[in-house]
Amino acid sequence: MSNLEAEWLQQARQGSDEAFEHLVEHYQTPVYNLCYRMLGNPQEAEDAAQESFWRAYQALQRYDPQRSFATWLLSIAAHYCIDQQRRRRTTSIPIDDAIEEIFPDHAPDPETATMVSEQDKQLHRLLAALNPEDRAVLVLRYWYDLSDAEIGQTLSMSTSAVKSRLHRARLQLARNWRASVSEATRAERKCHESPAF
Amino acid sequence: MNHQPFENWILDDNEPSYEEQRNLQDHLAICPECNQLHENWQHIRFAFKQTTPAAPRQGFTKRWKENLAARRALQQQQTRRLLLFLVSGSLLVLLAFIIYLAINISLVNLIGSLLEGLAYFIVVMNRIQHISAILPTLPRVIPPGLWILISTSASTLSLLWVFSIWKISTKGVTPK
Repeated sequence: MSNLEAEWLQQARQGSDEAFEHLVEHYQTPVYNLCYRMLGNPQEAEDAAQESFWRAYQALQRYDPQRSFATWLLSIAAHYCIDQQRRRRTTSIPIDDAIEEIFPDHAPDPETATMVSEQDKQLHRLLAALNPEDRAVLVLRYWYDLSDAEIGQTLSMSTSAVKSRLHRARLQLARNWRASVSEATRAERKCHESPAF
Repeated sequence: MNHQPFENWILDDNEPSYEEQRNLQDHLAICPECNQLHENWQHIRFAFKQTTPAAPRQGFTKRWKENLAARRALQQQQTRRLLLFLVSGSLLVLLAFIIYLAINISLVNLIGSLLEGLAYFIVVMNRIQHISAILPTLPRVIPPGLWILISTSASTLSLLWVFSIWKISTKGVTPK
């Protein structure tokens, strides 16, 4: 954490809304990305990210400064998203509506962007099939580069539980990858084939 | 066919040793299932590396500020409602009590009840005085061993109490 962030955090803990706004500005993308990867829907991700910041704002006095603020914030967001997932049980992912938001203007070129977006769609489909805790473990590992111990701390589980969840989630993803690719190719072919056939 | 430990070598983070990698390559050459798993996992790892973090729509912080104001207003409204409910509830109970007294109890009975309450209070105070008088004689009556036991237990309980207060105040409750 930089000195500036530490200062914002201290001021926010003393009741400065402006300092907390700086923290929101600074951490909006990591929190939103986690919510988006967990929930798969831009609107739900926005609501979840706002709710996570609200919960953090309310619990700021209980935050332990010895702990990383980012991990603490992600922990709040991850727990909230897991709860949401458990509540609704089913996952709906309107990927096509969301894709513009995932790939902002800095996409290298149309061809690469299309390939990457296709991969992203596939990843989303595969992640949606995992249970919420396994999904959270994978998201924290691959989008946030957290270690097993940090993931354990974030999701309130032991390091061995993280390891076994990671293994199970990777196995499930790898097994479902081929089916997902075939499905995507079939869908694309169907989309481009002549109506005469 | 037994796919262990090859499955672990394919999926886990730990880099297999040179020997393990050679064994894995030999196994992949004869096991289509593990070969497929290996290939798929490589695709997924590549996909993970390629995807960029999703960013929220422009104006997230502005929406946060609006959200914060709305939530605060809601909280204040809820607090006002709760306060109104408690005050009006208390007033209603008081009113009901006064009406009950006016209907059922005459003034003489009311004064009698008050005097009865006062007498009870005096009795309680007397007993407290008696106990206070006995307390100074206790050290001579209770053996030293029992005193040590009592003071040790009291100290242990106090320490436990102080420790739990400290733990709750410093660690807090981990938010879910």
